[in-house]
Amino acid sequence: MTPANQGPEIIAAEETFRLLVESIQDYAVFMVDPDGYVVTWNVGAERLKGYRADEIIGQHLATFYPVEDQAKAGRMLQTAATAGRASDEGWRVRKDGSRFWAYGVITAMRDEAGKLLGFSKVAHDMTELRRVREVLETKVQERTAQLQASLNSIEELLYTIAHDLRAPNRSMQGFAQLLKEEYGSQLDHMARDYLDRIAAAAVRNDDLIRDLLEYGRVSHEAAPLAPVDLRRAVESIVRALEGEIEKSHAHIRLGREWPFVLANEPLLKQILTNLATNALTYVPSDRKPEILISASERDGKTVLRVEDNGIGIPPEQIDRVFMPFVRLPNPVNATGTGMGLAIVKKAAERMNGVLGVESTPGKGSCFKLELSTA
Amino acid sequence: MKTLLYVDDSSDDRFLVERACRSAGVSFQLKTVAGGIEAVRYLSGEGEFHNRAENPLPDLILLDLKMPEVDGFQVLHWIRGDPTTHAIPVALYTGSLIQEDIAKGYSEGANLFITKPPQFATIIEIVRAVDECLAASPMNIGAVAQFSAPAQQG
Repeated sequence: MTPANQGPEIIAAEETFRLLVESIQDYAVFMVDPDGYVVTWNVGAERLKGYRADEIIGQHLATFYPVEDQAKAGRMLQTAATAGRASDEGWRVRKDGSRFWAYGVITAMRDEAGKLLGFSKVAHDMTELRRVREVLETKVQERTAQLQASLNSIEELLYTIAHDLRAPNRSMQGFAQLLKEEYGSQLDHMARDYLDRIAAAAVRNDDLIRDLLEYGRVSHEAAPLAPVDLRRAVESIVRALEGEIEKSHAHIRLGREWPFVLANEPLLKQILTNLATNALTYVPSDRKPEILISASERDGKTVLRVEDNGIGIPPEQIDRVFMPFVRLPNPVNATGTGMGLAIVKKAAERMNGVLGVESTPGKGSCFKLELSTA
Repeated sequence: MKTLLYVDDSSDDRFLVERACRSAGVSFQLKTVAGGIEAVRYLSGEGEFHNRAENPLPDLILLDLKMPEVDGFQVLHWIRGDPTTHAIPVALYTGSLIQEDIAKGYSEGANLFITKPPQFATIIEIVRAVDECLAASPMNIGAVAQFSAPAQQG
């Protein structure tokens, strides 16, 4: 379209648009030529920067930048000329030398043939917003530090309490045992049974405290993720459990595919220990434990499986097994704190892992842990 | 005769270890003190401990951590800083399960970190291992290592 065939409506529309731009008060809207010299100026620009139109037209865009930052004006124009648009936030200088924090967008303006006609610049004063943002950020940092401090003191208290709670367990167990050993001949069968129960309760209480501490540690301790050799982790746990495997006459088979996974090694070993121990424990007495530990890799994910031939989990209970303190009624009368699988779940979460279980009562269970392949 | 010095403010724990030593029929001499200040006095041969024939420098120290006034870490620091005691092996023997305590214990120069077991039977096993350790020539601290948390976790 050329000026020759512009009708009166178009000229009126352009005039309206010019008036609109000129009257915007809260945004500086102006144009610079291809070399960066100001060619138009609106009322918003005058309010924001302090220059009247006749003072600033013909001056370079760099005038608005602090002395140490003036080269940036040229870089911004260059970026806008290449990419079509450039935006930034930073300090700008008013006519009286005072500074304000501005957000500005520079847009290249080209004719239909693509020739650069100049640049439009829209800028807004963000000083107050920046101040509020800084106040908020400081507040968030302060609150976070306060929360962290109270969390730390709670943890410290928890550890101190746990330490003090363990001491009476030792005394109860120890003295019940001594009473039985030294005065057992004077006690009848029932009295000796009572002593056994006291001793067993003390040991159970101690296990519970240890598991609670473990749960707290797994929940809060730093757990950086790194590539872990799954085969080595599995083999080291099987070695560590050798005594129990022998005692229960279990047969453990390992899979063939062993990818590296993105995990925290101590947490992964904790999971393997707890799952393998469960697989060795929850088996009917007339059956030898058969355990298969394997892994498979697909689409960047590795699934680790621990399968057993144990008592299984009733379908109506399967959602509860990973909850803390939940102990399912079990025909093998295994003792436990109900924390083992809760620790497994927490450890899996800390590694962004997905934990699941499939089970057939009377036949066995398969626990699955999905982790990112390293 | 070899000597084990056991430092613990808990009279129950002291009694149980003494009793476990009797049950196990150990061949070493067990000396017990009830806190950090007393431990330093014993090791320095001060006051009631001045007679070295009765209160010999120990061949191994079993040291509780959480004690009032002077705790186990302070005692360990003192032991490692004193020329007459700095080479004596120290096994921390504590109710603590805290990783930071384990790390700090080893960095302060402990040789072993044993968490007090709740079962009396395990205490007997530990003192048997200590007996084996002290009876060996040269002394073999590895005999007790199975009851100890490793120096590096994970």
